[in-house]
Amino acid sequence: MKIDCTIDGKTLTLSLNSNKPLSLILRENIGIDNINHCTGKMCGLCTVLLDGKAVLSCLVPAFELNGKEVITFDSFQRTRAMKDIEKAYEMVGAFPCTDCYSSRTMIFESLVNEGITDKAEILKQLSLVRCHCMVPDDEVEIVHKAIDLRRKRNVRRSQFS
Amino acid sequence: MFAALSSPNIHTPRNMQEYSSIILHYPSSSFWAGGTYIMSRPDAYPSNSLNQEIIYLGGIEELHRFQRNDRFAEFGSMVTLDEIISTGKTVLPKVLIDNIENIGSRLITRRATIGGALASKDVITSFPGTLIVLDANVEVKFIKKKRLHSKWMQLTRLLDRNGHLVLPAQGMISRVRIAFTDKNYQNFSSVGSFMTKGDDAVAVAFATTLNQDLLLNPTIAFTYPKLGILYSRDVDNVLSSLRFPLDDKEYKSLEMILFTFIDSTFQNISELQRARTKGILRNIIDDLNEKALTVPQSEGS
Amino acid sequence: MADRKNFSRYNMRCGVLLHAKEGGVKITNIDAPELDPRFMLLTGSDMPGDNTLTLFSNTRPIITDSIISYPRQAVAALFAPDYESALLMADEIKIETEPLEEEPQQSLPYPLEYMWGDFNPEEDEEAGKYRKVETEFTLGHKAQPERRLYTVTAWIDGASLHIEAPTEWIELVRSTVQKVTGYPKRNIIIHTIPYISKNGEFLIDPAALAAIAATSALRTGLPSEIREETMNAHPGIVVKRETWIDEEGKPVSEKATMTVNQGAFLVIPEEYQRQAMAGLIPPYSLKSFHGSVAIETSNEYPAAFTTSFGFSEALAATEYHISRLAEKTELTPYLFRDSIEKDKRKFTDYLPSFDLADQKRTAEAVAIKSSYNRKWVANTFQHKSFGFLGYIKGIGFASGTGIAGFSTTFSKSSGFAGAITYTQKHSVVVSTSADNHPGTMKRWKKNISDRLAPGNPDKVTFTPIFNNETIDTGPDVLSRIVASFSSQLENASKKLAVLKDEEQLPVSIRFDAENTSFPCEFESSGCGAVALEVMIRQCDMKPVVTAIWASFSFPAILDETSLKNSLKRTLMTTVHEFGGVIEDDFSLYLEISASGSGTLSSPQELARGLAIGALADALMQAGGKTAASMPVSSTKIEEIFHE
Repeated sequence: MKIDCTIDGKTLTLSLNSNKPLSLILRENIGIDNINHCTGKMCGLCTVLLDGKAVLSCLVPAFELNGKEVITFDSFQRTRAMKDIEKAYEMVGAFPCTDCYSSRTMIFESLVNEGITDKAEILKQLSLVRCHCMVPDDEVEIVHKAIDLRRKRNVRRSQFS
Repeated sequence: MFAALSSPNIHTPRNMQEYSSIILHYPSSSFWAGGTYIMSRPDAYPSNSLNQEIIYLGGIEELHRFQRNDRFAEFGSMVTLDEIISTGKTVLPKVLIDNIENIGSRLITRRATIGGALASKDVITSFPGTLIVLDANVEVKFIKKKRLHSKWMQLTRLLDRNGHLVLPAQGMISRVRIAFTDKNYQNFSSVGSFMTKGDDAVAVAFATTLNQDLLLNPTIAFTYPKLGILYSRDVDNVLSSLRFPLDDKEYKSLEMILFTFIDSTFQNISELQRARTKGILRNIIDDLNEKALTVPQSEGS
Repeated sequence: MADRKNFSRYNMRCGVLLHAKEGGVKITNIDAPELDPRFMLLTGSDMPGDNTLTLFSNTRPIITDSIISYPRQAVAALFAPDYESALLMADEIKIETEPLEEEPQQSLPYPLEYMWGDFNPEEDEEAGKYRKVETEFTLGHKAQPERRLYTVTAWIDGASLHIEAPTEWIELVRSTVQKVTGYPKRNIIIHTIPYISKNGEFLIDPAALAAIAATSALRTGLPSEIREETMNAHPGIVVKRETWIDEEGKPVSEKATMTVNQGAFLVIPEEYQRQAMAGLIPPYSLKSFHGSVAIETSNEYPAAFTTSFGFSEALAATEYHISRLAEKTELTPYLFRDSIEKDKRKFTDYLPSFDLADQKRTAEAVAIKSSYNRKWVANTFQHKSFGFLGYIKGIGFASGTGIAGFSTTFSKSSGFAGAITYTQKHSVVVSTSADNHPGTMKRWKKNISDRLAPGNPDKVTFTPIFNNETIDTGPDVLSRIVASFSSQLENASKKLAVLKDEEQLPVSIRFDAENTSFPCEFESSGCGAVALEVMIRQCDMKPVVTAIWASFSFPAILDETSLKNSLKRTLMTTVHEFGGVIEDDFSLYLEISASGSGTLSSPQELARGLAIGALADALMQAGGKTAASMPVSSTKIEEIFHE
């Protein structure tokens, strides 16, 4: 079936199987290799933003994509929002590993965007990434720091505008 | 894509009339709710075994409705678990809220729907057990004599002897009604992963009113994802005959009685599931013992 | 380096491997439906050149054409215009097999033995004075597909064959592709994809996939990509140890036997033996010691490097054993270690003698931070009883010294090398195949340009070619050359700074292990200690690791943040690999310090060994011996308490 959607800012018309998972569309049709596809093992390494909200792309079938906007780590890493997360990584001195960097970063962004500061809620959302490369306390601190940075940046922007 | 893999037809009805005409035209269609379960199967894609006609229920506005009064809350089957939490966290029974929170990340609960959680094929989620304990009613839409009918029924009536929820052929759960409860002790416990390690997982939902040393109207359901749900009035009766606190001997005897029921329903429960069920039961009884021994604040003051 | 792939994905072949279901059988027939020209099935006999992957002296087929040695072995590769078609068609292909009448024997190395002293407590006049303590430490063979997909792509551009792959050993990819396709090595260009190799998954397999993808690219003339799931395969290990202790509980004589099941194919077994022996030798002094490491094969998935190559596992076994010896005294395992370890470690053929003060300092730091002694005593009272609390706890301890890179014997025989050239254009060319870490390359560039081209780091370039031949600096893990590459490069730059003004340009210096003298098989590379707490709840029987406390001291620290991250990651992934469950309230305390000058090498190997040892020890305290046979699981724990 024909699917019209926007992926990383590009408006595309794709001819796809209606039930093809978004993770495989991104890997095979768009060529984004840092999206994993774990065939149902719930690895959490395929997170993207679908209309601004973090989702596991392996659970999103092609037919649900019509008219939707997908942002993957490929385009997100070039945004100002990414700078906040990167800065927070540096401030805390903890970085996700290469395997989960993109997914974890997208979930961090979704948490920062929603302004979630509750430790249990932060860890619950991140628990989906089944990669044991980060200490839970560091993860919470990263979200807190990134929210702080984002707030300061927004305040600066509103002062200058 | 060219090698014999054909793309399923996706029907996206926007209301129940459209749904009705589609299901009458394509009576063997599969339903697609949030897709969390279907998409997470190892052989989900590419596969030639998937039904070629799929009805995506997400477009039916009616199924997204949520309403409540002072006695009950009613959800359309396409209401997501996340929406349930955000709209009803303060009023809905604790056992249901705990169950949803136990699922974990909002990345899942934002997509998983209450209807999908009840009616998934092949695997049983922890929700039917919880809703049975809450004495929930469901509206089932089904085809009879080439017409779409609907009927409200207790969820327990859909439970067969083997602990599986059985819907009428081409039946679809369209609404779920949950009565508010004033039961003062509610417990939902789940151990192991229902999605990835079904052989080891177990969930127990329990609700009762602890009145001094007695349990009033206790209801308990045990769910084993690959086997089924154990819910029995006889088990509830056993619980209501107890006087708290239980000593070790009484606890052992209760454990033995409960496992007689569990073993007679499911023959293949694993040793780990058995140990985990015992562990959860022990926690519940310890909790109730503690509460039974604590003088309520109103009486103490 | 040439540009990376820039071609339409719609004009390419997508490949998948067909895996065997069981090992120890023979292929009798591959039954495939008639394939149209857009498909290509590659079996072992379709490979154009030598269908083998060679790891030093050991070889294995890339695609087996007759004997299936282990489950998941590649039996064929199928290329199609897209992955859907490839996967669906692969399901249609049936592989018929029959049991093997006689299993092929591989020549196994003799057990490696190492011993000193002839004191035999059993024959000694005062035999009654000594008691024997026996332990067994088991790590089960594990081979399971991880959840991670990766791809290897091959395409032809003019005279060059390009390969894009995540790889830890570029030269292995290049030489395997050359052997299989016959394509000249010089024209094979490797583009590396950034990776993290938690279990050595990108050491061997990408080379085999690259050869398959290259064969498809050459046959079809189209870019070809092959997709696989990463495998986590570590060997099975059993360490049996008997120690004679005197009346005070101090060890006097010891015998340690390690048996390693490497799976269906051997992976540099002699080197494995040497590294394992380095971990097997205990840190305390003994009148006599006898150690042996034997390698076996089985019909299981061949094991790869798993951060360590035997050292970590042997070190873990040694540390586990020390804690068991402590049980015979009235001391906690930490205090017992402190009492039996002298100020200096004994010189052996495997590790030089060195001061143990740093190691003792890290152990003390960990013991204090974790309140080790108090927790150990409290947990001992609760042994195997859930009590009123509904949970049981165990605390484990391990401390030890790490080793750097490959052994001297191996490094000298392997021919791994690097070279540095000062050209006529006054630029610097570093010849190495290990150019896949941008961060390291940047640092090297700066260091070299400071000496040879001040203020002009762009004059330093890297190439895998030296004297018209490709050069092999060895795999990215454990290489002794890589381990001390920085310092060798530094020395060569120093020499070159003088030579460039004295000799006619271009002038080159080649450096390898051959011209360097090392007193022992390994050098020590830092030390550390780890304490780890495990909690088993009655309601779920999960072996939950609640906290880790770790302290390390390394010769040098280049980047503290990266090193800390790497150590934390190693500790957590190791615990997870061996069955430990990490929950939200998990905490990790880590301190690192630099002890002076020297080269930092293989810090993860030490962390891994100590994490395994501490986990086994903690499980032993919480659940008893069977729990310590790892990987641990809820099912295993349930069995213990069910008894």
